[in-house]
Amino acid sequence: MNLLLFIGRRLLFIAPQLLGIVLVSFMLVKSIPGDPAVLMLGPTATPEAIASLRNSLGLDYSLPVQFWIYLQHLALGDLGTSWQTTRPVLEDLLQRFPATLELVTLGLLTAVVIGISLGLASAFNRHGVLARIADFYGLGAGSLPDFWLALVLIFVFYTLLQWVPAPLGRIDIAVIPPNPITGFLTVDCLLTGNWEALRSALGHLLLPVMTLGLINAGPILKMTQSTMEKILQSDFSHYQVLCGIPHRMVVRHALHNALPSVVTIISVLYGYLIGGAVLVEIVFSWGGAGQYAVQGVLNSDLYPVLGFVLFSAIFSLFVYLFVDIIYFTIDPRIGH
Amino acid sequence: MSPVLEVEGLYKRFPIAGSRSVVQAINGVSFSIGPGETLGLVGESGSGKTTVGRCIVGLIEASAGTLRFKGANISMPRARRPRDLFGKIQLVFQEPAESLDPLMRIGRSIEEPLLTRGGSAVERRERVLRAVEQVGLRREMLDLYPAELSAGQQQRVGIARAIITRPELIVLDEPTSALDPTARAEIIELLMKIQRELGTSYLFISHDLSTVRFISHRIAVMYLGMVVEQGDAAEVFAQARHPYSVGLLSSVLLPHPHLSIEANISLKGEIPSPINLPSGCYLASRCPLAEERCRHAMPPAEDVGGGHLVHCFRHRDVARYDRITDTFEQFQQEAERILGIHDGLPAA
Repeated sequence: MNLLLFIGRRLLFIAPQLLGIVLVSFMLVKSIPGDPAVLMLGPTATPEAIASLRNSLGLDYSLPVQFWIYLQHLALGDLGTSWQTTRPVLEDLLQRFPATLELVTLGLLTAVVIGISLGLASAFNRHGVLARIADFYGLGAGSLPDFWLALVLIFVFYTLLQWVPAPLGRIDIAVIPPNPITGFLTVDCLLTGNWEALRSALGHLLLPVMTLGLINAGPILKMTQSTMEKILQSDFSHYQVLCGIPHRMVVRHALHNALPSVVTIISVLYGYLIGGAVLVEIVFSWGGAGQYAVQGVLNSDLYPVLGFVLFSAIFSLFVYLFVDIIYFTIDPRIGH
Repeated sequence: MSPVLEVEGLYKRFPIAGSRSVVQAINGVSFSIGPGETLGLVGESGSGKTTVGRCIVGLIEASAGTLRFKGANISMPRARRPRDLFGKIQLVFQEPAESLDPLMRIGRSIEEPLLTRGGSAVERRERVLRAVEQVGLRREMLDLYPAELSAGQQQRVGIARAIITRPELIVLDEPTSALDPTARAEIIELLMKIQRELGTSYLFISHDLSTVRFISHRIAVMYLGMVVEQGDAAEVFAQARHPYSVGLLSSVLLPHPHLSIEANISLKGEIPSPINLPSGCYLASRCPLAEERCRHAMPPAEDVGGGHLVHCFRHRDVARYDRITDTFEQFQQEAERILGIHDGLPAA
């Protein structure tokens, strides 16, 4: 009951939050220099043609009016049209956003597994071999650029060993992908029982997921390690040792106390990676949402950028809502 | 009566990571605590008081020396001590907030020391309720979390959790220094009440001399990891025989406008590093009475009467200098008069 009330209150705030995000990003995107009409018509266009295109795009209205028109369309589910793909932004994003989400989610899960297990192992035994590996790894993961690691992985596993398919998109060109149901290729393959496509999709996912996982395990590892160490050195952990509570239980209590910090860093990474994975997307020609948005920015293609911001914002808000629910369940004091 | 705890020649050295030198935290500490007795362990920060306490409860292992609990050897870390001694020595921490798991309800925290000792849930519940009553907390607080209590209440939880195993010795590691004066007085009163009712012995570690004077039967003064002077509380306060004790006592600001302590012995300089200890008396470099022999040999313990031990060649000269006697005694009488306390017990 308490939890439902809590979620309800949070959902109430989502609409005004979204409106604010759309307003700010609309103004920001509009302030990017460059006239889409000029870019669309090319260098040989006459001033009259540009003026008439600007008029038909609504670019000669004042900013508040343009924003109002955008909002009206938004309310009807129309996110505008991309002049680059000449398709509705909503359609583009519904196809590309799941691609990014699938990549980022699996990458982050890998990072969580690596980061938490190494972090716990090193907190368990500060002077053990695993602790040294973890220290070294934390340093390395923090200093490597992800796209560089991606290129190294491609060189080793595709060029040299040929264990993985070419880094071109999400699935082999020769394989027919299943009809999109959720947009997540792996899930759709499972739902339709298309094993050949699934194999191909997983093969294509392997390297980019490894890249994101290896790099982003760094901060998770550091957070787990430092929080756990601090808690295991605290008086209440000492006291539990003194009471003869088994080591594994003491560590479990410590983990319970460390979890909120770890969950926080994971949620921050999740929200960030939606756009932050764009370099990895480019290296693997992933065709994801980040790439789509960057193309939009470079070509003054306003609506894809706004659409991407809106999608990521909604996604982030739901991630944070979910995180709050997790806090609610792990920290008994919140509902108390 | 035979002592509850005997500490003999305790040493503790901590290696410094990445270096061959060691921190000599405890250097030959010996003392004993009798049944129902409170030994006040005083000294400035870094003198090794807390380390002594942690060796006794078994959180850290001493480098050398013997610890005996009612005759049984307990010189090893807690996990290897005789099983029937578990819970006989308890610990109360300095920071009440940090000593309780913030995600655990108070009731569960108090119950925790019993968990590894068998017994039914009903029995444990009864003991929790009794302990809560003994420390003056309300039953409803059992369902709260530590953050919902005041610091004084949190420390009461710390004490309840300590007495629930029916310990014979409680190591109180500066239990009042994180509290405001009112809560401090209440906790001291509570500790004295528990001692009267249960006959528990205390090792009361503190740098707050006026509190120590109030609660302790005997006092041991620590400096750089060794006990430089120990004896009956009233006597050490009245006739401190070690220059360091005199210096420490004269640093106390008595909360009374007309009483101030005049010390004729004032210590110069800083406490030396515990990594490179001086060869002679540790205080020689700071002591105005130091002679040549003080710089070469550590003075042995000398009994100046009634178990009052002093490590000082010139303790007779110190006795002549000392005028702290009267002031402390005067203050104690004055305080007791104001508070209406007789024989060290609060008036009913």
